[in-house]
Amino acid sequence: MPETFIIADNIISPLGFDTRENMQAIHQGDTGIKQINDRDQFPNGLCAALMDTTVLNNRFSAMADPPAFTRFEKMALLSADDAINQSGIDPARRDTLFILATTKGSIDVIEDAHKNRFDKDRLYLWKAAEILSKQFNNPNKPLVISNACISGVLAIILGKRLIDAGHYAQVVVCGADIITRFVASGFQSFQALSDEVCRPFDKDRKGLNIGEAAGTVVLSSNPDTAAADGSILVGRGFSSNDANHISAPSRTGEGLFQVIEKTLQANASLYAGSLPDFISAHGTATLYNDEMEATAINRAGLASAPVNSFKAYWGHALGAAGLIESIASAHSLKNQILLQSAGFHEKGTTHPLNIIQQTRKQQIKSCLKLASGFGGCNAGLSLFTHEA
Amino acid sequence: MKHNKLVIQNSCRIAKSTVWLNQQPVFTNEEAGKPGLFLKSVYKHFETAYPKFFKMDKLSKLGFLAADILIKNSPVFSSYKPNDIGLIMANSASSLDTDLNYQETIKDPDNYFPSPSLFVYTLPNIVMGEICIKHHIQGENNFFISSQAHLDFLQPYVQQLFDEGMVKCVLFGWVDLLGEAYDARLLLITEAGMNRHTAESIIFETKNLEAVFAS
Repeated sequence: MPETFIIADNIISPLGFDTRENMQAIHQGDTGIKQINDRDQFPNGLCAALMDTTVLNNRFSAMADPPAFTRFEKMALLSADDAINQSGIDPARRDTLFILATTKGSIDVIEDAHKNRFDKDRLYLWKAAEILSKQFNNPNKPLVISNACISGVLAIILGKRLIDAGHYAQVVVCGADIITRFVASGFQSFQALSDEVCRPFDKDRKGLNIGEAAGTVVLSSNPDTAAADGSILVGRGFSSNDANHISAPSRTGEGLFQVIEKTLQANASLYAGSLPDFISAHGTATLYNDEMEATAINRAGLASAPVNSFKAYWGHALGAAGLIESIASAHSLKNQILLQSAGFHEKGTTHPLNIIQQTRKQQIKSCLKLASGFGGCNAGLSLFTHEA
Repeated sequence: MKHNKLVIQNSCRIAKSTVWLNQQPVFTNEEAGKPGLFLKSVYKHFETAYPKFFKMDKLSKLGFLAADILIKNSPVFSSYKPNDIGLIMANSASSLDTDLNYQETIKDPDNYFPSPSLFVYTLPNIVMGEICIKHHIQGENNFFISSQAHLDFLQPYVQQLFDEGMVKCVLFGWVDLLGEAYDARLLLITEAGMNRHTAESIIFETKNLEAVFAS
């Protein structure tokens, strides 16, 4: 069976337009989350990580005509373009596939203000994927995965499976989501949002921040890459369902526990008897998610593994979250550095976790990436360093 | 790698005011008209007795009923562990039907915070969550979006999940609803040799799927 490598990547967020800018901001402890004072869009205020529209349009104008594309499309296209350029692959090849991960796509097109600018088919997620693959002259029918907040992690898992099966030699996995009144009002109705920068796993956490982002990984069966900092090996990953509640995490963490067990077992030879060197948790900073995750991680015997959540840097980027967090974890592995879980001060879960409280150099070889979402779904993925 | 011979144990389709089980019509109600009323009549006819049904959005009701009828008619289902059963589903319109309702609700400034139980249905995979809760399914959960059922991808993908040992049973298919139009086609896929309870099973391969999906 061929191996699968991440040979290039991109993150677009309020912290920057490529992975380097985003990682630099995280090293410095910056956050993209701030108070948004746009009472027309968000009548009750919002503390979130939103892209600057003017900057986005300026960047995009080098690629195509900004008014002809939706906000979502611009972010996804820019992200894929940068990752593809860095990888050196030819995206038009028949052995290359595009996968799009998103929860809501161009959901702004549902608003009256945008309806006249775009055909209503732009609301369809498959249309967004077609626009993406056509932009790069790819001949294959692209895939779309829309599985709530595990979409990004699941899309990488899927890409690896398709390379494993020998269907494709390269897979471009792109994930994006935007924040509109639609999304904000929904999370506010759940009373899930924090009015300040979120505090994953902390005793005083009071909810999540939503965020806009796009992320892309180029997966390849060949580790050779044009990117200067090498490749990361992608292990097997799995998804599950709690079969418990559509909007509340399982108290026992059953579904997440199951995917952790499966990914540790399936990648046992790569873990070589050791625990993951760190865990990139979903860590949304809601009371219930973080409690559930701590329970599942403890049940799996991983209480001593260093854990971080990136949510206090980017907010919760929904369908893109698993992608950008996997990319940040891949860069942790490349740079041999554990990144601080911002916002954490004091243990806030029944079961203890070894939260990374300060960014530090450390020898690391493996990462376990977790995600959970509405509908009771969970996903787990393993990443490993690759010696060229 | 082991190549498992897979079969379609049973199929259930709900569309055009009719329910089909293994391509035979088993219930029709032309009078109900709109999808919401028709689905309610299906719920009653099949004595579903699951009060949570009434809280679901229409997409979830559609997928839930098709899954429920299919599983109740597939005794083999109960022989699988929750962890070994996967759900691989797809549609075209995602949750757009509920999204449009939700958008109408929040347009009204007095209703900026609609009920959270409406918002959660603005995701297409919630129908899988509802089915998993009712039938205690805990394995692979993937929801794909494509303009039409992308069988050239889905069939080999499901085959791979079996061949790599990730699943032993898959609830597979299409659940799409927007406005007045609705179509659910769900199939229960298992390894061959498990079909002692059903008279005849169809081999799970693309050309047979195309026949099921063409009707």
